[in-house]
Amino acid sequence: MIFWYNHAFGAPSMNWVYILLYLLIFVSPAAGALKSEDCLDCHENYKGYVHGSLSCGDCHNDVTELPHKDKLKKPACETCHAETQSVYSKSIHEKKGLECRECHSVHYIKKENRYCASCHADIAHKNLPVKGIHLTRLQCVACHAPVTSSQIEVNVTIPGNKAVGRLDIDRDGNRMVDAKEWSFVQAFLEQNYKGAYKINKKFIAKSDVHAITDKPAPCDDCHIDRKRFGTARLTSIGGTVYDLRADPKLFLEEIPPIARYKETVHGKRGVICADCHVSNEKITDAVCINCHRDLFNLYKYSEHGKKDAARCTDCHNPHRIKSYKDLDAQERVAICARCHKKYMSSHAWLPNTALHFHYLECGTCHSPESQKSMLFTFARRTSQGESGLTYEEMKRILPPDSDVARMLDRNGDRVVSSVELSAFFLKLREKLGKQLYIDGSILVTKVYHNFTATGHREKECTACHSKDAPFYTSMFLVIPEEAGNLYIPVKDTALSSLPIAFAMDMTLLGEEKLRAQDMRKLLRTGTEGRRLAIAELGLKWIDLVGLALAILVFCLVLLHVVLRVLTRR
Amino acid sequence: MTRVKLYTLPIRIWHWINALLIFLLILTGAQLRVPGLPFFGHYSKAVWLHKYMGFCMVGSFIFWLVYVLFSGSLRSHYLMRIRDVRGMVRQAMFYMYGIFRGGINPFVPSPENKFNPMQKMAYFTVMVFFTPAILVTGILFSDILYFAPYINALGGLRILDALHVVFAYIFLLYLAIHLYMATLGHTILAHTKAMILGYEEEEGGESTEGGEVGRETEEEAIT
Repeated sequence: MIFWYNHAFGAPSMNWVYILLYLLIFVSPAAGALKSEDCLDCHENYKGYVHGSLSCGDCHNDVTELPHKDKLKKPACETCHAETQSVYSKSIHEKKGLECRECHSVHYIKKENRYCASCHADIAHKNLPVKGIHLTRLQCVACHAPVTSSQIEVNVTIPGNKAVGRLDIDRDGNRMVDAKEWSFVQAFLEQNYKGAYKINKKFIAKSDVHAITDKPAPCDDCHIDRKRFGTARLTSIGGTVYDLRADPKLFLEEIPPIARYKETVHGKRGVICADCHVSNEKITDAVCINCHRDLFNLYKYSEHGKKDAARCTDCHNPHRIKSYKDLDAQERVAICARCHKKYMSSHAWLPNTALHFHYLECGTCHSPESQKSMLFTFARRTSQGESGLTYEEMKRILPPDSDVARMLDRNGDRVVSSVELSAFFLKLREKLGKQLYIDGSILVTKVYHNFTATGHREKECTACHSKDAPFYTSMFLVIPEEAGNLYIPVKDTALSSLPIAFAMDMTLLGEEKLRAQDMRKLLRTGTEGRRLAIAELGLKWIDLVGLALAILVFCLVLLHVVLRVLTRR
Repeated sequence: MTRVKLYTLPIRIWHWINALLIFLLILTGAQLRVPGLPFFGHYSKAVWLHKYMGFCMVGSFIFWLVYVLFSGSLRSHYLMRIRDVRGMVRQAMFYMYGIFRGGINPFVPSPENKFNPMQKMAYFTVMVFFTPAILVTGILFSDILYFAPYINALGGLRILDALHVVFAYIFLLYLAIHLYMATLGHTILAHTKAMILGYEEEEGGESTEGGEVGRETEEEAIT
């Protein structure tokens, strides 16, 4: 620190210790420099200047006497701001020759009022999709500079700041909100505060404005790779502060950019840009019909088609990497929810609404002609929440070039039995630990595009909650592969006979109830067949034993009655 | 014929309300287990009824528990004693053999000792173990999402379902035996009438203390 002082030299009679002390304390290289007040005698317009605690001479250090030379050296900001200068030297602003003072008011640093928009007010952001959202929610540096930290902060406001219980948010108590828990939170809010609550998202990016780059960050950084906004926090709901970690995918959709078009379903099948983008006009259904005429003919007579409610691209994103069959129940529901926003409250009549929407897609009930299947997936429960096993995770734990289908279907009958599934599951669990489990959902596996009108939908609980539910004849194990999901048929008794710990979260429909065919298998088949039938019985033994005991009690009572009648008692 | 007051009015009201609830719960439960059964029409009605009848049963159980605890009858009527073990054998022999030979029931109920050893064992087990167990598993089922941590701690939804169904079968078997045994009074409807009117009519001119036949009595008998 350089001190500004005004002292007379000490007395010559002082001994040498005092002289030394005097020199150390009071004498500095700036000794004899000018005071700011001296400068202001001529430069009145700099009266009231503020730049830290610096004086004029600290920056204009070539002024040693007054009056000074006509032309002074340009002050070097990097003398004090070396670190900033080093960052700035790599920025686009530096390359364009912008000097510090063009943004910074050097003499009145507290009165700075120049921001990005001061110069870039007319930037059109022509190539930026969904401009309204990007430009209002993000700061410039979120895309135009390397970020030092970034986070999505979400809070939910409820009128009257009503409290929401911790158990309604972080159900597994791991201080992390995953996709499943968030869908429950949304259901809870819809059912209790319909139309009155608001989910607020803040995209906070910390960056150095001096590091503005010439090219903005690619879309992948946020929407695929999550290098930016890769963390999220649920700060509060209603009047309660929670500050829980959350899965950023819940608040920032996965949208691939054009650069990754080749990874999309269309791209993989060799469709090139010009096949669809034949003009500058917006893509219409007429373009899709070129390849998907049969589907469209079916769709145009459906309620959606007749009312012109939705174009192909309203539901289908042609640039999406995942195909429809690779989407899970929640991702599929999200497509319909883009228009049917109040789907939760309109299904308040449905018991366990959130649970249904977690395991089913809309088409499970609203597309009676579509084929539905019960799909099993391998999933993990970690401190980060619950998630399905990805291709990368499978690849890491299985031997190179593994044929998963062959590993599963050991007897080669093209159907995976519970015994085969259990063996494979145990192999995976050796590598991944006990947090591995089998999850399931009931989804459409063959889409019939006639999504139906009100009144023509499945509202009978017993359509699913019955041992005769159609999806018991269409069950698949879904294995993530590099090219998309692999669907391997599963024998219909797989769930009931699985050891409990494998699939403890699977909800029960009708599969665990004893069926006539189980009885036939137990009674009629040979020793080997009976052994297999017993192995696949699973929890159905409860019905079997219950039924046997009921028959026994009935017989005993009947015998007692007969004896009473015979002995006239 | 002796008339012995066995059941107080609150207990009689509780018994019949509880009987109605159990009857409805078994029927709705059967429809949930076997969806094709036509008891209550739409499946969702059965779900609704089963859920709310279950809550009513919780209330009914709490009433019973408070009543037997404060009246002291849990100790006097439900708790098994060592002599009851011998009595249980004798009682079982009577039901299996003696009853057909015209033998006398070795147990005569009284206000101080209402239940024979077999009844004691059955009622104590059902009311102290199986009823709370089926109610707790039912409550967990009533809101799967809300109770998810507890359900997971228990072993998951499939375990919960298995337990609830096992308890339901136990209840069903118990009910079948209970209803049949109710016809084993000195007339077919004697025990049922006692549970309606509160008085059990007993054969013989004198009232007896609850317990095995032939003991002296000090209880007040209304003749």
